Amino acid sequence: MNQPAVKTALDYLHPHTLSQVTGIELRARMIVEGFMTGMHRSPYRGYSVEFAEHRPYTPGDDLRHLDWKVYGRTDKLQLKQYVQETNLDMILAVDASGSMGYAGQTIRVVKSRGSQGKVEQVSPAGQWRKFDHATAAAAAMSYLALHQQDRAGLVVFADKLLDFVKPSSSRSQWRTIVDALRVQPVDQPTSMGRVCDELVSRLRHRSVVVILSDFFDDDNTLAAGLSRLSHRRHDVMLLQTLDHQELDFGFQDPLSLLGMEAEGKVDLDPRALRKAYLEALNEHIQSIRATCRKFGFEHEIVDTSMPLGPLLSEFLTRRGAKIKK
Amino acid sequence: MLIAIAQGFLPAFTVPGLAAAGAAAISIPIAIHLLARRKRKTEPWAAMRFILAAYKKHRQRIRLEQLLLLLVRCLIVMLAGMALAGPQLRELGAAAGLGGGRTVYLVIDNGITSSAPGKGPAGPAGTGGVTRLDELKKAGLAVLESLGAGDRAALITAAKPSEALIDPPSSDIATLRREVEGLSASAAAADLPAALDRVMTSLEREKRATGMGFVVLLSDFSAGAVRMDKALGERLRNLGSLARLVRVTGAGEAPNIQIESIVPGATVVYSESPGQGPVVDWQIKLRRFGTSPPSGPTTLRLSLPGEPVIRQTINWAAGQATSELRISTTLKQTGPVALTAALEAAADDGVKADNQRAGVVEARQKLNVLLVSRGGGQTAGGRLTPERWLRAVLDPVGDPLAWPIQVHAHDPGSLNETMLRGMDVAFIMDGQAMDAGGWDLLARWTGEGGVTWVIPAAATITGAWPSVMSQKFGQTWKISPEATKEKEPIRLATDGPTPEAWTRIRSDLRDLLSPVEILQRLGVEAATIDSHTQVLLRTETDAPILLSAPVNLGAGRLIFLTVSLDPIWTNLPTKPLMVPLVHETMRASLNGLTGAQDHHVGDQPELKGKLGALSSLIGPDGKQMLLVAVKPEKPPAGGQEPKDPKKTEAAKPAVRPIRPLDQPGLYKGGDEILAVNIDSPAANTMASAEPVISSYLATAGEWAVAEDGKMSEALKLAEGKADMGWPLLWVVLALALLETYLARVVSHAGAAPGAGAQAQTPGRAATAKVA
Repeated sequence: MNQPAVKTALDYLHPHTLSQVTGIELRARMIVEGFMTGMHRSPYRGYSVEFAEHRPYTPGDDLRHLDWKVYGRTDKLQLKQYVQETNLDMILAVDASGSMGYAGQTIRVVKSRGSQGKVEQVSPAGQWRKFDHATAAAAAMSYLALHQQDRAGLVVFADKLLDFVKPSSSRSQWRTIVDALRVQPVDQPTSMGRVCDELVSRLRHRSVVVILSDFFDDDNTLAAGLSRLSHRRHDVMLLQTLDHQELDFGFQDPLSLLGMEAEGKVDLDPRALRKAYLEALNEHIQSIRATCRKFGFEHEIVDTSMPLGPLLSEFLTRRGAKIKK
Repeated sequence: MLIAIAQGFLPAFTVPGLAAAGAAAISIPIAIHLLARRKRKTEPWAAMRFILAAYKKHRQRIRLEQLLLLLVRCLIVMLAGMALAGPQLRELGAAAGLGGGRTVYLVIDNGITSSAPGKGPAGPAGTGGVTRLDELKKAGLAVLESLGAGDRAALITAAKPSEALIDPPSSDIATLRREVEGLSASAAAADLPAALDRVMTSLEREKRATGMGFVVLLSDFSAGAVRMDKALGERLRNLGSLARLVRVTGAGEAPNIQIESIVPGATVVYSESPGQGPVVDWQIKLRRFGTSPPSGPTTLRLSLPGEPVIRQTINWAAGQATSELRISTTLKQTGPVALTAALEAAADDGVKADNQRAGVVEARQKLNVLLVSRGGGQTAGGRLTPERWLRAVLDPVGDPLAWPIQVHAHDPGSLNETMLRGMDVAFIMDGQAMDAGGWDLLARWTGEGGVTWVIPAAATITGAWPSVMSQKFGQTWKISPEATKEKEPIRLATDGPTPEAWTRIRSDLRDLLSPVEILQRLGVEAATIDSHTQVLLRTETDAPILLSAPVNLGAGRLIFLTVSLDPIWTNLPTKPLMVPLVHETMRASLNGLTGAQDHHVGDQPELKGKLGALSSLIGPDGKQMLLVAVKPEKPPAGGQEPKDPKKTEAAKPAVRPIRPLDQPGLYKGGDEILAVNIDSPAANTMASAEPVISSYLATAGEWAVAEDGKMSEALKLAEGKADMGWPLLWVVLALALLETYLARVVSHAGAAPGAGAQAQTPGRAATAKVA
């Protein structure tokens, strides 16, 4: 007899669940709440001004930082040292080009089983586009950033900047960001060079720029854009958002593929072309990684069929690391 | 056209319907292929740039793979149908125009009788009518017409010498056709054994599978071609096992008249009396072929150089086949002289080439005789020396101008080539005085066309010279170095056949031989006298007295008298036999020299003597015919050198025409003349009966007789058909395995989905290569 499935917090972060929810605001809240619930068991806790270590007192030090408890126990003057928390300027850049409108036919359902995630079944689901995944992640990240007292901003782009929300830590900022994310992809290709140019011209402070895009652009153009961000000492995280079908190319039957950025139509036998396609894709990814390594940027591939929780955890970890720098 | 091709192929199957169904089933994989291309679902795709890059890179390979797969699938379907239909290999090959790999040896008899009128449209040959050769060529072309692209053919002519115009067999039918069309009738005899021998050699070289070779013999099988005296050799006994033998039927008879022979009374003639030219008696034979030749005249024209043409008319009686004509001519010039005879055109003459003939004699004004002796008219005892006896016999008149024999004498020690030049006969009267060089010189001169007569000196002990002589002249005689004295005088044997040399004195021979007594002689071991040596005189005790042997294959002659012309040895010099013995033996020896014999068209004779010194001849057509030196025979492989190398010393220069003598008539070189005539029996145009033809060819095996126009049927392959059903099924199975492999490769089934991207951690993914 089948037992009714018990949903865990992570289930709320899964695209399969999120795709059933309309409205980006609600989605973001589900993501964050689900994420925060899961945090009780996670190692990511105590993000605030916190103790780091002791050091011996030296004349001239501020007596307010003396640890009197240690003095009482050991009769030694030890000075408390704290990690100095700093507010960040967080810019979330979401790609709304035509290619981000792609949604694969299947979404993998992952059930937690201990520490291992295992694919148990593949079932049809609602249309979950790369853009949906990117906007949900961006909304959740901005929520978390604002919650951490950071200043969060948003950029929506395709071949140029489509929308720009200035970084702010105000209470209404999250709603402004969510409103800005309520757009649809345009039929334009990505042009990272131009976008980066425009972004650099708008950013006044050194910022952490999180780019959610499939980066289907020329390698050299992308490298040129990133070099300009690097030149202005911005820290960049590239979250390359790809559909599982794009990563796997699991088509079986002969079909015609129609380009979403006006590349035309091609008849092909996918099984015959799969290997060559994956080679071309991997070559592109390797090129991006090499560029990121060159500038010291982060690069991650985000599979839109995977839950968002780990991504957000990674995001917070990286944020913390950047604050400590 | 497709229907015609299909109709050509279908009889090659046991169940043609299945083969047709298999062929039609090819459309199934093609249709599936086309339909699969049409039925495609359109999907939007974001990562188009990578798809396009991969597509451009692999488009050609993918198309090729798919076409190859389609081809294999079509082949499987078609071959499966064919395999089930029971294909028969040879018929299939024939239907495909491949011919089944036959090798046809086309032997065409273009011998002298092939120029006779054929069975075709009326009209004599040479005046636009159809000759037998025309009919044979037509049959040959029909054979070539029936061959397919996979067949090969060789072309061999049977006129002597048999010639392989195209061999090894060739598949170039057009060239074969040109060669057949270009054939013309030869004046040479048909040599079917030699032609079939060539076929045998080629078949042995080819080593073709039994049953795939054909020998097609196209001949008129006239009596001149089917000659029992020239039977097929034993080597041809296996011909029938190497190839299938096919022949045509023999042609009917055709009337023909020919000059069968011209024979001079002597080949070397000299003037009998001073001031008069030599007289030659010619015997000319004419022959008519035909079952019942009609009566009527035939005119013969005879011509000698510088003489008016002599016309002789022969009035044939009805049914008369042969006629003989004798004429006597006085030659006005010396040297080789040719008498040419020609028949005037006759309506019922099937073959023209045998209407002329020539005979050659060597005319000499005087006979030059050299006496090699140390001279001296009398012995110590007052007797006449042998030289004096001989001189008295040779020149009884003592007047060189009034006697046709001119005697020259020389000392043996000073014998040289100059002395021998122009001599006809050399008498060696004192062998002991000759050194080895002298014998060498003499043997060489004799081999070039001279006659040497050796007579012992009067001395009883001769020494070693008889053995030296025997060796130098290449004879096997073993002669005792010392005279054998008889206890009682021995008479000459008078019984036994009369030697041909003495035909003219046959009637008086017994009386002439009877009084001759032998007192002593040089013994010749009877066992050492070979078959070529003729013993002209022998004693009643069978001891050889006069021996005559050919030198250099008959170009010269050695005569050896075992007794000295001295009363101590014999009373021969004083007896009436002495004069006719010397004169007739000399004459016969000179006549018998082979230098004057005639040759047949198609021969490539070895010429010796004076002809052997020539470098070229001018043929009847005025063209030059080069003569090439004949290489001395090599010892057989693994054999030993001749025991006596001196045996071949006499075999001095010999030449051979660079190609066969292919035209009848006179070939001239310097002062020499070579008569080349047709081989008379070969021009026999009478029909050979079918049993005779079968019997003649039976040595080679069983011959299938092809009727007119049915040659291609005779060339059909053997009845044993090779069923290709199972082999084809195996091929289909192999193709099916290949298809499975290809389908897997082309469909890239091994590149299963999921292999390209693996989730690393939830929420993050990396392609396999990235990982």
